[in-house]
Amino acid sequence: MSVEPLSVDDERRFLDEVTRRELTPSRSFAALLAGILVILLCVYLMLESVLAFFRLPGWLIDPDRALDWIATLPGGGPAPVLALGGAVLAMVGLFFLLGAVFPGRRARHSMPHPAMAVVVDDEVVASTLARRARLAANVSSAQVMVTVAQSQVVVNVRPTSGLRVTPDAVERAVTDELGNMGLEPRPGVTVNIASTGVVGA
Amino acid sequence: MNGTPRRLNRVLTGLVGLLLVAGGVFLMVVSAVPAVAQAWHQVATTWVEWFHRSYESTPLLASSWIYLVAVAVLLVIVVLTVRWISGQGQGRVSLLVDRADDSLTPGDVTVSGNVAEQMLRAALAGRSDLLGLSVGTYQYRGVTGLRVRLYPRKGASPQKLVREVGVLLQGLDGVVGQHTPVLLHLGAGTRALFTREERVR
Repeated sequence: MSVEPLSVDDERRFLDEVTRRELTPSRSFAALLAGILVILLCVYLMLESVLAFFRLPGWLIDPDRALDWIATLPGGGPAPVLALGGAVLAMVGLFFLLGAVFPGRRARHSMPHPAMAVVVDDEVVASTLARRARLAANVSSAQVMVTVAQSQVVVNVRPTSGLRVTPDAVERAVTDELGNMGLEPRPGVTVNIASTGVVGA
Repeated sequence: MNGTPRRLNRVLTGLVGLLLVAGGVFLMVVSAVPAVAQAWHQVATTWVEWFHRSYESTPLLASSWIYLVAVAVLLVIVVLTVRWISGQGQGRVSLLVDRADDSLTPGDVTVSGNVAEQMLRAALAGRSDLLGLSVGTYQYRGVTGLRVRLYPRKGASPQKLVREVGVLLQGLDGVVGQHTPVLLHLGAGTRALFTREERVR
């Protein structure tokens, strides 16, 4: 298949679309589970239908009796068990339904670039910020923990006992590094300095 | 950059979820509230009668062709579901350039996606801030593009990697003779967890 080169605008639009897809979940796992569920149910119903067509006894229950069971429903078994089964069914359904309804997002940020679609995992961002924060606070890497969420970066520093860590310096360093990355959307920075120090670090 | 049908996934998993929730809630209500059970019996009895009537009126070989219709419908559902599931994650192709402008030479010119991979590997081989990379060629919406995954070492600067790989990829366009849209993904692979931090920059 011959592919014509895209115009600049078209390529930008293409890259933006690709970026958007990279930042949202594909739901392919839920789709796989739902598909398997549907296929198993259909194959079972086909089996019972074929057996019923040849007037053979049903494998688990033949369609006639299944219909009667459904039509007289709470009479088919102990009510608490039926209610519990219904609750389980509804929970499984909620898993699929909520996953489909909510937009969802992956733990990634995009980094605007003139010629490419660039996405960075939040873990990568966190490890880079942790390095900068560690250098600014002059502590070892075990004393810094950084968590990156969509719009929030939290830097936790445990100072070495006896040495003062200025939160401003850490915050400035982390903000500077974030500014250099130019993530989109740009997260805010919170720095927490622990009140207890680490001895002998 | 793959062709996972995102919207279809959302709609169909949502539908499966909705049906499961409806079934579960129905089971719970019908076994908990006697008034609802009464109403259900009345409705269901007419439905069962309707089924028996249509069963009698569609005779075939001492049975009814209703079952054959059911099997056909179920089979269609199964086939459609299999198609839906097999569409997940598709779009990988092996050729980066399928048909170049080759009017000057007899024959066809194709460029394999491996060319891009080998080039990038060779160019990035000596880097200390990179643990690994993978390159895939994808076709999305009729456009052939590269998906480059980089696994930076912990603490490496993403913006520096992006800038330098961007220059390399421009070089690739020159070598291949055709502009290729690129998705660059800086990921946190499991290897990054177990290797030392990037110390020198």
